[in-house]
Amino acid sequence: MFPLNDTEPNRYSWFPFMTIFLIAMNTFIEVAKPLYLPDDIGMWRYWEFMMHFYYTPKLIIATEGPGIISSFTSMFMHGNFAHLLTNMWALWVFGRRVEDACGAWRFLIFYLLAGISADLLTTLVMYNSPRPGVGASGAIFGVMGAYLLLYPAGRIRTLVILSIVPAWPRIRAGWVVLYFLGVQIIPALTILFSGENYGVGYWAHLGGFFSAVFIFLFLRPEAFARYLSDTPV
Amino acid sequence: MNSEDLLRQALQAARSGRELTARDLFQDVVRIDPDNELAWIWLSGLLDPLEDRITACERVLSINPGNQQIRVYKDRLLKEQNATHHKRVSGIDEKVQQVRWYVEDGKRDEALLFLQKILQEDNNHKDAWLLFASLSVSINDKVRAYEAILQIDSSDQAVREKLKRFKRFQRNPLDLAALYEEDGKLDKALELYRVLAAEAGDGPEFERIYKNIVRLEDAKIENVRHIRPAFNILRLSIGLPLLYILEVLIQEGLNPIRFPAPDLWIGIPMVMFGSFLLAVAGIRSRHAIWKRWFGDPDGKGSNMARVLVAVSGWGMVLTPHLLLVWDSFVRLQTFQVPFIPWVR
Repeated sequence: MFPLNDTEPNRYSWFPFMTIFLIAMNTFIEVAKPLYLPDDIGMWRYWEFMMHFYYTPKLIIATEGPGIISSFTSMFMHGNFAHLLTNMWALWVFGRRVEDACGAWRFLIFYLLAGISADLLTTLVMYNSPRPGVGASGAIFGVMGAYLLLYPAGRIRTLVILSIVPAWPRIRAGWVVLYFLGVQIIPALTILFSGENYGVGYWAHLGGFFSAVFIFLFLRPEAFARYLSDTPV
Repeated sequence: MNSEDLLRQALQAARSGRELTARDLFQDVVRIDPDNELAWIWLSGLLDPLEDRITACERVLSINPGNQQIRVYKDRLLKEQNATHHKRVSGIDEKVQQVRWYVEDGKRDEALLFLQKILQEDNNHKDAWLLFASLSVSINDKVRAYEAILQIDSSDQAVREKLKRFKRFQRNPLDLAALYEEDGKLDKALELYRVLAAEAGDGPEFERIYKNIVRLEDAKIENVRHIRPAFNILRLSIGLPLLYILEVLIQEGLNPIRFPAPDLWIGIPMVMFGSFLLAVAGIRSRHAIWKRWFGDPDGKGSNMARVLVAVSGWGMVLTPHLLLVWDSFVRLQTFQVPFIPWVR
């Protein structure tokens, strides 16, 4: 299952400036990364780079290294282009209308809050993990959670491949988001109870997702009034 | 038919209780014979209104000045006329009260129509003008009402202030509609937008007003609740301090007791105040800040004032963040990158 597009129109603004800006920033940083990290950089320099720019729970707990800066830098970096593409696609699908409900600047602050919350939960659960984490997925899960709260009845054009023939029905946003939430829970619990590591920030995803409850602190007044009035935001 | 036949028929009609027919016949008699005393005597009792009855008495007295009974009757009618005049003045008070009841029943349009009639009858009634000012949507009508009140009572300072305020709204009428919206008076705001749209004609101004009309109509159809601006300011002031607290927690290794950094925590009130200023600048509602800091009498903030407050807000929010980033850089100076085998 892969979300392709949100088929509903915007209500308050005509263009998702901040969503596009975030996609552009993430893409630019990924494209510019080889300038800092050429192929022949060597293992140690690459490791050094990760220790400076990726988010490492063990360093955070020990108050060593870059601290909060790594939380921000890791939010704009990705492991590879596939990682970037899937994240940015999801940001485009779910971010556009969440930004519409908040306004550009408040959306940015919410996005950062979701990213920081993702890192915070990761640090709480995996406090002893020396593995550096990277990616915008924590923040994007926050955006997805916000989408679920604001537009549970919205329709998402989703690519579904059940057999050989692909299909792209318009599925209720609630089901799409809950599906993505569901696939995080078992690996996250496995990490918690057995210490298994999948190389994916499942707890970051959950941390971001749960931070979606804060979306109500960022909604524009009209959208907030609509939410309280039980009418489509 | 001569006047005597008409008089006979008129008397028969009067005696048999057909007053309207009798009155018409007596009027026909005096048209043929203007000095017919008997016809005028009957008309002094049958005519309506009071003024016509008095005129009939005067005709009788001019024909026969010795008619004492009619003289007494005329005096009684004159007294009645005086009393009616007083009653009419107090009657306007009652009518104004009736207008208030209309308003209480939600019949604003009827109330306004009735009030306009009252003001045509007596345009020196202060309460009626006050009510008219409060009920009328048109800014020009409000200004007219307040000017009329000041002509009646030039010492009323509150009305003088209101007049000044609405004269300002005459220049920026959309501001008044926005204020109505802010107070949750959607109907009033919508009505004002419609009046303004009608006055605007074609062009970008009309487009702007039309968008507001559509927006408010949608809100009405959807039955959107009114949220007080103060609540929205409070709500929107929380997000940034929350973000900052989480950042400081991460910077302190989630353990502020073991790794205390009071200089970072001092930033919290700063971020809170900055966030509050940003919310005030963003909400565009009345607030004491606009009144006290910028002397804006309507307390809604000019564009320049809002930009100033927003810039100050960003300054207060970003300064502690810069300190936080500085703290990170200081830490990086002494950071020894752990060896790769550190990863298990």
